[in-house]
Amino acid sequence: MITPVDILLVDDRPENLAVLESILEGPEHRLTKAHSAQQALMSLITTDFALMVLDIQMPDTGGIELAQIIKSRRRTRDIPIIFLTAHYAEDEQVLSGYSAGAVDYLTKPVHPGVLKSKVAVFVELFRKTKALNEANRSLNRRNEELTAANLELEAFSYTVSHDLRAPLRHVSGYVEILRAHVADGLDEEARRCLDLIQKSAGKLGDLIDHFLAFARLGRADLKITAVDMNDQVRQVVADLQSETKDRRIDWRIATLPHVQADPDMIRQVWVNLLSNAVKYTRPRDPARIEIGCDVSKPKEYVFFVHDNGVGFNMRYADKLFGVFQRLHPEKDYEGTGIGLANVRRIVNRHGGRTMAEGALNGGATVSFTLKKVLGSNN
Amino acid sequence: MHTNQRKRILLVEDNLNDVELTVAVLKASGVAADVDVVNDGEEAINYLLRRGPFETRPEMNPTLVLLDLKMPRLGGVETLVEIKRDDRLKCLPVVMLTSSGETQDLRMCYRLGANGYVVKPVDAKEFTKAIRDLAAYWLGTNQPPPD
Repeated sequence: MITPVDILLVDDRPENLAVLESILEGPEHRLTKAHSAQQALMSLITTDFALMVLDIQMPDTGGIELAQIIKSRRRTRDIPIIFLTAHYAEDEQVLSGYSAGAVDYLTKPVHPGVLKSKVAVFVELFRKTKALNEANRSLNRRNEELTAANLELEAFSYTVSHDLRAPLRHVSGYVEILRAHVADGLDEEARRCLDLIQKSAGKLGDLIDHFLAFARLGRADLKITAVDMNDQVRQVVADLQSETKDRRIDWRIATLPHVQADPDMIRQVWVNLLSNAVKYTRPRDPARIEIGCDVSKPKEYVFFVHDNGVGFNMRYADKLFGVFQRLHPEKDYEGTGIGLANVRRIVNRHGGRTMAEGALNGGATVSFTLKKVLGSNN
Repeated sequence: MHTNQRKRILLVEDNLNDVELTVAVLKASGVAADVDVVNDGEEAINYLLRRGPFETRPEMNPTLVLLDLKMPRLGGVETLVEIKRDDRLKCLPVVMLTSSGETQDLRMCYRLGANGYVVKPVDAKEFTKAIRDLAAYWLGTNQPPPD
């Protein structure tokens, strides 16, 4: 069922009002009649009208004058008015002074079909505007809630991270005091236990640090400039020297395009992807790591890092980019499992996507897209 | 002149485990200084101005104030503000000693006049080294402000 909308009919002659009423009667309209400008203004205070039908010639305050009052008040300014005029030629100049859309006119005698269809247009407009305003209001409300929730989450992760660190420091500290205190009385098993406690505390510390850094990535502002991906890759490969110097790695690096991006963040993407490639090709001799970019798509670059390392089972591909998710036991490959989650977060913040393909013992390809022109869709 | 008096460190820290561990490291590192401990900012200000229960403490100001950030009542930042705006106290070296390495905390403390900022490491060996280095610099290398 449709909620009826309010329509105000203004005419000094009761028989005219009766005609209008008979034309517009129906379940979708709630009609209010006014015999004078005074009465009309009273009704406008209490009711939210979708439109008004107004006789231009009335004694005392005439129709034009009433319209001017209505249009000058903020609360009623947007109510559309259909003027009824007996002499259009005389009134034309006055009517053209009003902005189109908010005002319309009909010459008397009123043709029922024309009045009905004009009214229907304004009623429809009123309903749509009302729905839009409501949607806007609820969107604004949701937005405020989201902002508040984000702020709360930020405060929460800050507090948790720092409050978690203190007891951890105490565990580590007291283990050392205990070790010093009973040094000679410790057998091998006791020493092993203390080492494990110490190591676990350190590991939890790393997790907290990585979690904090990950949370920070989500809120840091992007500083977009031109980035030469060739420079970035060259630097990151050079920085991996200490891990690669005793290995045979066949680097195949294609010429890469320049992009618009946050250089520090994109550098982190390369650090994560290339150190992963170096790490997971450890059993290979020689290892092969290929870095390239597919520039053939119209709107985006697809960068990829392909290696001939231990790969992964595609069944778990969706886990790959999750926070603290790992696909290899820690005893074989170190790390907390935050690297690819950071990659995804950074790439998403630039409006791109991340993908991974691989096979167990068949190497892996991790790709990410960046828009060719920043700000365009896809 | 108080040249014959031992140097003092004022440690402002509400967590008793942190107090014990920090004092233990300072003692073990052979720093030639006494460590006085207060548990929040209000106590710290009372101590520094020799008010209330601290009226009878030795006259000499500490060589170094180690100030935790997160404390009940008067927190680290507020305490720093109080110290740096008091003419009698503002020359005292104040080093923040905290769990937080957040950029906003660092920036705020330096803007408000902190003389140093040390993030307490989780790992005991790193923690020991940090406290030792800190004490060696501020009680050895660094020349304190004259009385």
